[in-house]
Amino acid sequence: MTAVTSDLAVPRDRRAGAWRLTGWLALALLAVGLASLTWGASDASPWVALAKLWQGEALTAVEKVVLLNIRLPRLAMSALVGAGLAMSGAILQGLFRNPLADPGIVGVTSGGTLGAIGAIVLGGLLPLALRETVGTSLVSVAAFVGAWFTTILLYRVATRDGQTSVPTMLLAGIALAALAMAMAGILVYMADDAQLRDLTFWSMGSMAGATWAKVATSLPILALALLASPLISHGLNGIALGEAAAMHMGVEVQKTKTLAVLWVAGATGVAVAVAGAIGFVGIVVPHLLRLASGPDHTPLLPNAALLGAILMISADMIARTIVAPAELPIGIVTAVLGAPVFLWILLRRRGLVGME
Amino acid sequence: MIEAQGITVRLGGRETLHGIDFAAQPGQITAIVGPNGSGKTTFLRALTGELKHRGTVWLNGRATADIPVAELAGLRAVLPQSVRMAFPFTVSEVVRMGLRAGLSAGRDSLILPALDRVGATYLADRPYTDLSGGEQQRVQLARVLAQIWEPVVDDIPRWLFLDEPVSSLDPGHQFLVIRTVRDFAARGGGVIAVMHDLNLTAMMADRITVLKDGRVAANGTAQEVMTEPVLSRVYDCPLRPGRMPAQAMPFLLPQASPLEI
Ligand SMILES: Nc1ncnc2c1ncn2[C@@H]1O[C@H](COP(=O)(O)OP(=O)(O)O)[C@@H](O)[C@H]1O
Ligand SMILES: [Mg+2]
Repeated sequence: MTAVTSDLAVPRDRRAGAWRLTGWLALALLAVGLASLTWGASDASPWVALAKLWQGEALTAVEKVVLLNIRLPRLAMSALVGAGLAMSGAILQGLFRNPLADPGIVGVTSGGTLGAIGAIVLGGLLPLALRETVGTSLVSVAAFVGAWFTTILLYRVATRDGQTSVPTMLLAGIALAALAMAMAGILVYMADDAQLRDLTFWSMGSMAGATWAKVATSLPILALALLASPLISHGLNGIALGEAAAMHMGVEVQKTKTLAVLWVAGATGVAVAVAGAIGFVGIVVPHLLRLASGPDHTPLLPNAALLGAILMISADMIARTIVAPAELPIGIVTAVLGAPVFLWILLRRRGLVGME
Repeated sequence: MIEAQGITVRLGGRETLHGIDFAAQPGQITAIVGPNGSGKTTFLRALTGELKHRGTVWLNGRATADIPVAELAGLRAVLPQSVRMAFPFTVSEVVRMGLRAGLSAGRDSLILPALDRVGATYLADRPYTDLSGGEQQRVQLARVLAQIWEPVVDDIPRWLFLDEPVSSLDPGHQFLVIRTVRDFAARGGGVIAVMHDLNLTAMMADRITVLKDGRVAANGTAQEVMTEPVLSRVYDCPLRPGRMPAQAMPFLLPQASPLEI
């Protein structure tokens, strides 16, 4: 054998850098979270409130309502939804081996939306008592089923022998999204619930309806998903070489795929059920992180959760202050930030859609 | 030892392999050759358990279908014909992916020696997606070598399955890779390699299995298999092996004159 001919002592290892980034992102999340509690239409301040609590004084009614019942649940929900959507994007991209697979773009979000709307409309037929007990969770479960069904269908259509056809994936995503939104539109038309008629919520999302109840339904599912992510990241790294190669390296490919699909459906479904369809977070966040610290899914997934939360909280701050006292749908903000990034990926890497 | 009996595969609605019997010994390189589309890749994929098939494959005496994937990954490694990646993993990250199962799990110290075996240490920090086809193939081979670094563990041989490991390489790297693979076999490991170039096959292989139209057309040593009747029939063109005087090793030159072509 020849001796080691290179003067590379050790190859560059990006893992340490990626975990350092995790630390910075956690700090940034804390800062953005505090900013979001501070910034708003009312001049209630978390700092003043904290100082009062410190000195044993009582909070005013306004402070209680604004901070504890409006801004805090809204902050928590933005963080959860952002984390869920960004991780869903990263996982879907790992599963399809393509950085363009975003739950919004390939129709998974629309499937979830259809499920949620279906549950609201048909849930109206349930007896009142039952409706009140299962209420939000029924919507979440239905959104999950819708997202799950769409993901499976998409995978069946676009993937043969473990190889995904990207044009097929994107085109099938358009068709699935159009079909799901058309059916959702019919349901919405039939219903006479004023809130449900608000199609903007379903197509562009909003954090305005944040309540502790919604946080409580989404938190367990998203927390479970976050904890389960190390189980998938290992497998997704293997699948980056192709499903067959992953199997030969000892990855339980089928198990990884099943978990990944359930994961994406769960996180996307919950996000849609509580906040409507919010696009582009799932594509922008993983892409930026891959540029910063490499595509290894083990740090990528938790980092995506953090950056997704940061981005969503920031987008929500913009959405609720830029046209105050009115509010922009948050999906407009994420689209303005995210669509150019999507185009930029396409420009740089035309090969991804078979144009090279 | 690898044994396969009655391997039959259906792909796209038609039968691609028709009951292939096959055997390979550890300590040897067994080459699979044949014309384009004769079923070499399909057969290798069936042997490694990647494709659904009828018939049975035994690896060191155990039916592969009964061995869990994680354990199998410690017994054999597989080099596909080509591997495209969508994400810009660096070369050393790609090789590290091979270090997950069996004895190799977590041994990052194998990355550079494995790259060295294929003359690719200088690529270690480059993004895999930027490499040429030949460079990518060498990096994948390094990953596969790292996965089962020791050819024999506890007296049990480990196996390399290679689909055209040298087809896209320049002559210098072809020799380097062949030497690496020969060394793996010489130290007791088993190698099964789908090959394209008949001269390199003659140089490298201890045994050759020739496939044509999804059947075994011939089977034996280079001297036995690389004869005019066998090759001309299998490849449907006149192929007359010559002999290198010293080793009596067969070699082939294109035989037709420019006018005939
Ligand atoms: N996924 C597939 N679906 C249908 N037919 C296939 C598929 N893969 C290979 N084949 C066919 O099987 C035959 C053998 O292919 P292959 O094993 O790749 O040949 P080679 O000997 O060149 O490696 C060819 O006729 C090929 O067209
Ligand atoms: Mg082939």
